[in-house]
Amino acid sequence: MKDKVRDWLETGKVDLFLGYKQVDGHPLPHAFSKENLAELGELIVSPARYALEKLATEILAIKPALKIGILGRDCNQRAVNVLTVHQQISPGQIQILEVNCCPSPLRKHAACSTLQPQTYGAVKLELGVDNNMSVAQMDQFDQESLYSRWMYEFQKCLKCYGCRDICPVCFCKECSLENNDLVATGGLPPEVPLFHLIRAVHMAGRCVDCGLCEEACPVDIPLRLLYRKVNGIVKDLFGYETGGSHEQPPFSLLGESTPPEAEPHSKAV
Amino acid sequence: MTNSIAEIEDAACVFIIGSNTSTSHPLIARRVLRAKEKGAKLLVADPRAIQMSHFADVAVNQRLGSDVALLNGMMHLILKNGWEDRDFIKARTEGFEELKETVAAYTPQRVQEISGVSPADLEKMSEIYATRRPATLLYTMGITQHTTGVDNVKSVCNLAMLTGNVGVASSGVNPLRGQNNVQGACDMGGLPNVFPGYQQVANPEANAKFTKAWGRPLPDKPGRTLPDMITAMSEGKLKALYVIGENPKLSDPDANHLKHAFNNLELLIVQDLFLSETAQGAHVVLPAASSAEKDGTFTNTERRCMRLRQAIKPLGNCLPDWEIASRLATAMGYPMSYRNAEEIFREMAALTPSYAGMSYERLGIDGLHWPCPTADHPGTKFLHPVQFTRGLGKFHAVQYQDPRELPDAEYPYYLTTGRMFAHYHTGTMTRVSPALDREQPTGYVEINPQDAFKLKVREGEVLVISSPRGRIEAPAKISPEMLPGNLFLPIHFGENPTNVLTNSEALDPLAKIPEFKVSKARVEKLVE
Amino acid sequence: MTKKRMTFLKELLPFIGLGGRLRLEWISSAEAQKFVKVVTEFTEQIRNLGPNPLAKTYGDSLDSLDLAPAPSEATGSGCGCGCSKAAAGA
Repeated sequence: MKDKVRDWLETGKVDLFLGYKQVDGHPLPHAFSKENLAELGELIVSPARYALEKLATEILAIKPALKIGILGRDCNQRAVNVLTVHQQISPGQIQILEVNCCPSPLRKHAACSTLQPQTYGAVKLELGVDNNMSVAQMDQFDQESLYSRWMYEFQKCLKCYGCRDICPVCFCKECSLENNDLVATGGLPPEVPLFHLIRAVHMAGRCVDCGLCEEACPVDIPLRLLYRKVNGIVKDLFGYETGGSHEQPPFSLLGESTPPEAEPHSKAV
Repeated sequence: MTNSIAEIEDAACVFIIGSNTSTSHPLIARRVLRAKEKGAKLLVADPRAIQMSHFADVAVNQRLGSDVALLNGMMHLILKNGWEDRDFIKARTEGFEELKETVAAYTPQRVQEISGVSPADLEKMSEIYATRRPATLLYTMGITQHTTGVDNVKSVCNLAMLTGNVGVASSGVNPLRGQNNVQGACDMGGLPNVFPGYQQVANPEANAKFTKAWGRPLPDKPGRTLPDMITAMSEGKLKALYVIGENPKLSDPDANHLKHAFNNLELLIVQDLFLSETAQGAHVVLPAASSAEKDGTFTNTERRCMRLRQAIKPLGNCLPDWEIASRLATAMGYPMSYRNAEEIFREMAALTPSYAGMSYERLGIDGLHWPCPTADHPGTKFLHPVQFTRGLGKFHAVQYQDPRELPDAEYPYYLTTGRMFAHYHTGTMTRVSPALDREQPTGYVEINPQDAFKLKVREGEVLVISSPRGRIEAPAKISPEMLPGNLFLPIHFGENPTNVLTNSEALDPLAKIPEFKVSKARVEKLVE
Repeated sequence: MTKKRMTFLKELLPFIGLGGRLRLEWISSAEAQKFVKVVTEFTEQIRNLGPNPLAKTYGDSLDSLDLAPAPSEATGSGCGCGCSKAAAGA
């Protein structure tokens, strides 16, 4: 792993490599470069995940000539595909050094170890939506129950924007969630259920099911489940597999007030 | 806090009083919600129907300033039903008989007359708090910013001790600190009467220790509190003021009165990141570096001391606070030659017993909770497991007193003040953020829909709010969170300076904290 | 595009318990009868669904807001899920 990164940096395959470094017992995102090859000893692979491709995209927006390598799993690859489809990056600008979806060599592309079922409280199971639930299990509930469960979850929202800010495929310059005409500002919780519905709709054809939003959520709203439903609908209705290819999504304009050509850092693909 | 933040998750009961937790302490609110989802009962007592009230098993809206009556009423019922913890009372406390006598008079009916809380709700709250253990109690400025602030805190402690809810994991009395480092500032002696580590200036031993360490004779009498300083300024007895990272022109009560006091000063020095309202009137402004530009430590509400690491070099000509202080001291004839923040931390740890075991190396990323007296001590997650600081915990029997001001014919509304979630204090840091400005661009006054209807005022129309101290204008925010007859003003907005209305003379006699939470006021629609 | 979006939304809303409250029709200005029919049908359908559950969640607040001359944007009117806007635009 370290040799490969060293090789990539030395041969100029990439100018910068984004990975993780252990600091005082915490794995933190870190940029490795040719100038600091000695640091490579500290590069680690762990269950820790971060939207490194988002950092890379932001760096590329300022320095488009760079080539950036990232340590990535399958979800990072899907996110890079979506970012390419939406013209936020050009093909080849981001190189992924693939690692298994969990640190075991035996379980290639297994479910991420950090996303293995956690235990949630009994009251949440009764009033809210369990984060371990599947879309199929949710379909067992009637409309009234679904409604009260989701509203319970949405009412916890603290409007920290953690879900949006960590999201590798949230790249809009102007975010509808901050638009006072769509979602009233100045109050907590943010308008129920509008805030979360708007975000869900904008995830159609974009969400790569990385689950970082749900990990970031301080109040455990089952966002991944909501967006899984969104992606399920996109797949059922339009046969589109988000993040699987460089193919345009069925409604690449969905949720955007401007077509992609007018986006600030658009580039021809 | 006597407990640490993560422990809240494992409480069997969380009682929030006088804290809009999701707005002001969102990351503590998350722990409360997790506790609730694990099966804890949640009690919320607040004059407003706040976000946390939606999740409460019992939510009450006590009248502003009636907390002592409410808490005494709970203790009355706890004793009446035998829910108190007799073993704890016997082993760990004193003064129980006086308390028992005092709370005997706070029958549910009387409590209802004072606070408006129904006997049924009071009974439910008392039972849940006393019987679901461990119970944790969270409070903030809704308890302290009153003329009876100290009484309120004593009552909160009485309740916790009565039910044995102190000194155990997930169970304690937890005032949530309003700033990242206010605990640290107090720990370091940022108070008129103590050296670092709460060592009294008037204690000859402590005084000798610091005199030796710092090589200069030190005052052995407590200095002035902030309200005393303002008085001294108005009387011309205090001629120079050096303000670091504070914006009293917006944050202190009775802004008009304060302005006169400031005009009397011969020298005003302000050290801040931005040109705050106070800095605008200063003779000298010292530009301070922001948290991203310096090294140091913060000690947060759970007594956790954590390192702050410099991310970028200070921009422009600003300097870290410690460097400004060092240079100033050197220029004034007391040479300070610290090379970095770590050197200061070492001196601090050497002189402060509760920090003695800490070093930058040990703090790492996670930090350590004080007390941490030795280099191999793991830090302390919760306080008072065996005994209180003074030995036995003392019950302070407290009688209810009305707030200094109650509504009258001329000023028929209750006015209370506080924070909203998108801004911080006087907005010196948050109002320059475009994202937060979009979230809440101006001040406002929250008013109950029925009151708004009576005043024929629509959302966003300008209201004039006046008190015996002055008048301000603010757009109306019609909010069902408010009880009829109550107004709420956020404190962040210089163009709607809330503290023009508050009273600088209504102070807690002991702590000298102003009664920001209750004033009388009049409100009318602005006639153009 | 509208059709695609509405088809999508129609699938999503039932997932959070707001099913049956969204409908898309193309009606020309000449088709008065169709307009009447669609609106009548849809009104009937919504009525059969019972009261807006959002009003139940925020029951107290909406009741008191009704007293106010101008309900605040924050709680909104209608079901607040955006479907009223969509239906009106259709």
